[in-house]
Parts: sequence; structure tokens; C-alpha cells
Amino acid sequence: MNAPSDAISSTPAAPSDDQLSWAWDLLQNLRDAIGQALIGQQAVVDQTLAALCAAGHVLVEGAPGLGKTLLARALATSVAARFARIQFTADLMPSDVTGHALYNLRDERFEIRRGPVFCHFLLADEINRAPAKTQAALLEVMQEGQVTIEGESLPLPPPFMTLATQNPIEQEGTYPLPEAQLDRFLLKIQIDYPSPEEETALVRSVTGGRVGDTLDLSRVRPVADVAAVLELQRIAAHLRLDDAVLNYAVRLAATTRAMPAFAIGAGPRGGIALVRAARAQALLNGRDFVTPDDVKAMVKPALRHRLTLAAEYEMEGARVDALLDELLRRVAAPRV
Amino acid sequence: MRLDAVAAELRPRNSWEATDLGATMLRRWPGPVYRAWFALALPLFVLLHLLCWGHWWLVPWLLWWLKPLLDRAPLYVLGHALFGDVPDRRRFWRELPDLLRCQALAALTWRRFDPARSFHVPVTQLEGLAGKVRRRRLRDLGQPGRGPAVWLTVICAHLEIGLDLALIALAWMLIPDFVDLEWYELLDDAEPWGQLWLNAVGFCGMSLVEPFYVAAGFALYLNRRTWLEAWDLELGFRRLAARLAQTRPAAVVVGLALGAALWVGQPSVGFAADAASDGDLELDIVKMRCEQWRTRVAELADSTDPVQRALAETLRDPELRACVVEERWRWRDRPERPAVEKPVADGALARGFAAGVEYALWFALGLLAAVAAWRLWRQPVTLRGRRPRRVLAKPALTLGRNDPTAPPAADLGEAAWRLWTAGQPREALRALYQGSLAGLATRHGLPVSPSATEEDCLRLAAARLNDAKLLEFFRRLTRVWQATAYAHRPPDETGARALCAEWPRHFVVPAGSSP
Repeated sequence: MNAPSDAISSTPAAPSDDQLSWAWDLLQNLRDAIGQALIGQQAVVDQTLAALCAAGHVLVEGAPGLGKTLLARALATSVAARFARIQFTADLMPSDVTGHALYNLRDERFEIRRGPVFCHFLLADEINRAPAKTQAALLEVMQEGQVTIEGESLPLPPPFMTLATQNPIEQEGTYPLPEAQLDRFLLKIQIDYPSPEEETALVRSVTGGRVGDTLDLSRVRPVADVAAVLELQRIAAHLRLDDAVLNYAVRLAATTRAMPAFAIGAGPRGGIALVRAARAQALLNGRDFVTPDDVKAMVKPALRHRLTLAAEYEMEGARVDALLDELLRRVAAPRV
Repeated sequence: MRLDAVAAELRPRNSWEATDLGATMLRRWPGPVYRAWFALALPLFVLLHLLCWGHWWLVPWLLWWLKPLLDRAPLYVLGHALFGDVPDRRRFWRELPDLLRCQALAALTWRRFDPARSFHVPVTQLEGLAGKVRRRRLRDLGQPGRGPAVWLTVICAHLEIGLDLALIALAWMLIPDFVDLEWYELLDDAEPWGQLWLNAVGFCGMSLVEPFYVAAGFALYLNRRTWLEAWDLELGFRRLAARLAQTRPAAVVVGLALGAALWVGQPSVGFAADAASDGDLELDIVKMRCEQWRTRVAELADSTDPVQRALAETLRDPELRACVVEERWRWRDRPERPAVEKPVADGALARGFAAGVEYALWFALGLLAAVAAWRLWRQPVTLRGRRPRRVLAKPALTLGRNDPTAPPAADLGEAAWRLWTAGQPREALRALYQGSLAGLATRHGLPVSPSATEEDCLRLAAARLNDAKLLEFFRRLTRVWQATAYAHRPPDETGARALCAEWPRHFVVPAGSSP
């Protein structure tokens, strides 16, 4: 479970083969552990693990009942880390998220009561149901990695990963996240309906010998701990990245700004996110270097929430993912 | 008829102003009118429910059918109240039987569907005319009053339906939240109480609208008679006569002389202004004269004297027709200008002007077509759906290089090995890989696009190539190239030599064989 000591003490430049092998095994174990609860949705699991390796936050979007909450719960269980869940509602206050100061009459002093954000994995369920003030409080925590209550800065225990969910079909009574806040999420993961085979296996698994339809995490066993996750993130951050691949990622992000289809393209943070995610993807593929394919695989989850469609395209019903496909078809890959 | 006792101001009005007079009359005597209405309608409503017990759906239809009789009560009150004689309760009940009996059969049968009922009822009820005389009287009253009366019927019918729905909506809004009742359940007439509720709503709507309908129709009737019989002039003369009777003759002479002097000395502009402001009035006077002429012709035609009938026949000749009234719609705020006879323009000038306009139109059409073509080029759309747009400018698409179109050189393997031995392993493998792509594209028809990555090319080759050895070689070369290019980890010399040596076997066509 823990990283070998010689791997941790090895050179900080590039991971050794042992470290790479350990990381790949760990990621396979995490995949398997999450797969015990979440049947199918392999791409979604991989993208979530990529965000974990890249120390980023994810926004999971999908119709109700596709396993968004289950994914977050399974990930937290498989890592044996502190997990908290906040169900965002219209009356949720920032102090309900971050914590607050309370006057203790007996001791005659203020006490800090820490909010649910003081954890390793935070599930912000239906984040768009809370008003902007509460969303901003959480997103500040995500960006800064610390909470300030009554002037006192309280750092969050690393690793800290937020898995926010939102439902794309019920927009009544919601507060859509502003572009600047969406930018804080490393990836936006779309959960789609499972294939017929996966759905059959899912229904069989959920209904076989069980009472009710509550989330079943009993088969998910912890396969990593907090230290292992931190080591995983360190390894991912030190994978080799050739200039040609870096240039490819930057070109992809920058080209979105030149596309008339987008009123707002991806900023430099988009390019940074793309490279971080591509490194994590390379690690998931068991390589110690990043290829253009890793970048290509991460373009949609890393950029789709950073782009704003131009009004005329929006009126015509264009979709960001389709336009990103077009972008990938048009921008030359650095293969020679 | 005591015109001087009329409580309303009698003057020629247009039709809609006359209907407004009807509403004013109802507002002036609401109590007597509604008392009379409910005195007749409410017992009838209850009676019909008792008679149709178990078949309450019949009640609204019967009430609607009996409306001509119900209308008589408010008209009776209005007809008397207008002359300052508001009937009391006892008198109303005493006269009610005669009121209802009068031509009741006709009112409920062949006259029931008369769309101008409110306008015609006063002739029957107040003037007491029947048969041929009544028909002639209605013909005298003529078309100008009938049209608005028909529209009045249409409007009141819609108003009544609207009020019914509004009453249902009001009831729905007043139902507390805890009562589990859907709005459409209020329209459910399957149950007897639901039918009773709907009947009550219909009765309320009818009771609110019907007196207004009767009053407005009565006012139209009064207005028509004012036009035809000049009631306003008669009233004016009566007042003048009354005043003159109380004044000395000398003062009258002085007054008339002074009036004549003022009339003569008044500037003509004033007359023009009056004429302009009373344009509608002038039109109405013309209409009235035409109507009088038509009435006269009709009288002649009905005469027993053959000479008068022949005269009427002659007067009906289109060429001898005294006047024709043509009515049409125009914008209220845009006064109609009299047609001005245009001067005959010079032919050459007109033709030149027309040619100029034609050229300008053709130019505009061309410009429009050019703009449309440009727009379509920028945003190509089809009627069936959206065509994929050009999302990137062309130069941004081919960053780096063009598609491999030329076949690779035959000695590429040797050239790559020379680069390797010269200490340029990356360039050597780049040459091999690029040459392989060129070979796959030109000799095996693989559509390798510039945006395809190494894995894309490999997937494409796996899907299209039938040569397993070639595919295995390409896969091995791809892995080696990826490690060299992106991890700066070239293969050992043996591996590189093997790749360079094997490359020609897959991509070099032997001499004499066709590619």
C-alpha cells in the first residue's frame, strides 16, 4: 500500500522504474476497488483517478442515477481517507461549508468549529443548487487549500480533492457556476448512460440478494492511504514531458481562443490543466513520459468547462464536445 | 312621445358611441334594471332546475333559448326610465304577463337566431309593431344600425364566455391549498353538483352581460331614430319655442339681427375648422339623406298606385341612383386625402425615372445575393439541418507539415542507419517512422491526417492492414519512436540496426513489380 522507501528517496527529477511499477500497480488496485462498487464507466473512473494523480478537483456532470455519488464514495473508501459530503441546497451558508467561530460561555472565548471541508475527499453534491456566495466559499478553499475563520488561516490536510456533482437536466432553482469558478476544476467529467451489457451487470449486482437500493460500498476495500496518494501525485508531477508535447498542449488550448465558435476560449490555466492531466494519464497508462495521445485523451475533460460557446453556435445547438473533436481533427499532432 | 322628458342627451352619434350610451343608461339605473332582470331570471333558473330534475344539463340550453323573453324585463325598465318614468315593482309585475306574451312564439322560434336581436326588440316591444308593419319599420331603420348590432351580439357572447371562465378561475384561486382539487375538476359536469356549479356560473355570467347587451341595443335603436327622425332638432326647436314664448318680440328682433350679423362676420376659417372637425358628422348626414331617399323609393314601391310603382322602378335604375354610400376601413390617425388628379407626366422623363429605379433595384438585388452568398460561406446551413461549421481558420489547421503524399525513398533504411552511426538516433528514427507513414499512406492507402497521433496511426493501421508482419513491424517501430521522441530514450544499437534492416522489406517495392 505504501510507497517503498527507496522510491520516495529517489531522485526528484524522474521516477525510477520501481516507482513507476509501484504507481501503476496502485492505480490498478484503485481501479479494481472502485470497480467493485461502480460497474462500468471505466473512462469516468480513469479520469477521476487522473484528477487524483494530478491533485486536481473534478466536476462530475450527469443525469440522476448514473453513479456520481457512488464514484466519490468508492474513491474515498478505496483510499482510506477522511471523506465528507455536503448536499448543496439553496439555504446552505458559507459557514456550513468552511466552519465558524462559536463563543464558549464557560471558557469565555471563541472556539473554531471546523466545517466539513476539513477532509481529504469532499463530495459537493449538486453544487449548483447553492447560491453563488456559498459556491465561492468552497471554490476559494479549493484554490487556496486553506480556510480562514476569524482571521485564522487553517490549512487543509493534503491531499484535498473535491468531487462536485451537478445535474444538467434540472436547471430550475439552480445557480450555474460562473466561468471563473469552473476554471478551478481540473476536469469536468461527463457521466453517460452505461452500455446495455454494463447496465445488465449493474442491475443484477444491485438487485441480487439485497434489500433496498442504497449505495453498496461493502465490497470496496482500502488499497491506498493518504501517504500513497501523495507519493502518486509526486510521481505524476515528475513524469517526462517533451517540449513538442508541451507545445501541442499549449497550442490546443490557445487555438480555442481563435475559434469563432467560442466566445471565451481556454486561458493559460486551461493549458496548465491539460498538461497536468496528461501527465496523470501517462501514469495511468504505465508510462514515465507523456505522449500526444495523453494530451489528446484529456482535452475534453480538461477544457470543456473552460469554454463558452458563441451565441450563434449556442442558438444552433452546437455542443462543446463536438467542437473539441473538430479542434483535435484540425490541430496537427507533433508526431514527427 | 314626450321627447323633452328624455333623460339622456339625444344627438346623432356614431354606432359605438351609441352603445356607450347604453352602458351609461345602465349605470344610471342599475338597481331597477337588475331587479327586473333577477325578478324574472332567478325564479326561472330555479324553476328550470326543478322541472329538469336529473337532467340539469338541459338548464343552460333552455335559459339560452329563453333569453329573448328575459331581455324584455330590462328593456321594459329602460324604456320607461328614459322618459323619467321608472316603473315600480307592482306595475312591473302587473305588466309582466303582457310583456312576455307579446309575440313570444315568434321571438322563441324564427326570430331566435336573429343576430341583431337587441336592436330589433325595441320595435316589437316598445312600438308594439307586428307583421308587415314591423318588417317595414325594420327596413326603415336600415342597415347602418344592424351591422353594429350584430357585432354587439358577437362581442357580448364572447364576453359572457370570458366571464364564465373568469368566475371559475376566481373560484379556483379562492380554494385553499389543503383542498385536494385540480382546476379541471371544476369543469367536471359528470356529477349533478358539478353540473349545478357550472349552471350557476353560466347564470352569473349571463346576468352580468345580458342587461348591458339589452341596454346597448336599445341605445342603438334610439340613435337610429334620432338620425332618421331628427329628434335632436325637434328638441332644439321645442326649447327655442319655449324660450321665445317667454321673450318680448322687440328683443327677439334685436337678438336675431345681432346673431345674423355675427354669423355673416365670422371668418370662413372658422367654418372650415368646424367642417373638418365634424367630418364624421357630415358623412352621417349624407348617409341619412341616402337612407331617406331609399325609404322614399321603398314607399313608392309599396304603393298601390301603379304610377308611383313605375316611378320607384325608374328611380332604382343605376343611372338614376341619387347617391351611393361606400364604407371602408381606414387608419383613424391618418386622415384620408381626397384623390388628386395627377398631371400627365412627360413620357421620356417618366421612362428615364423608371429605368433608374429598375437599375437601382437590380443593383440592390445583386448586393443582397452577394451578402447572402457571403453569409452562407461563413455560416453554411442547410434547410435540413446544421452543416459542420468551419471552426478554425485554414492556416491554423496545418501546423507543422502536410500529409505524406510522396512514396518513401528506397534507400531510407540505409540513410537512417547512417544517421544512427553519425550519432543522430532521434533523426534516424524520425526518418524511419516518417517513411513508414508515407509508405502506409501511398502504398496501402491509409488516410493519415496531420492531426493523427502515433496511437491514432497505429489504430488505423490495425484496422486497415492485412499484413500481420507489416503491422507488427509498425507497432514495434511506433513504440521505439515514442520512447525516443518523447522520453529521449533511444533503443540500443542492435534494435536500431534491426529496424533499419527490416524497413525495406516492408516498404520497398522490388524492381519490376507494380506498387
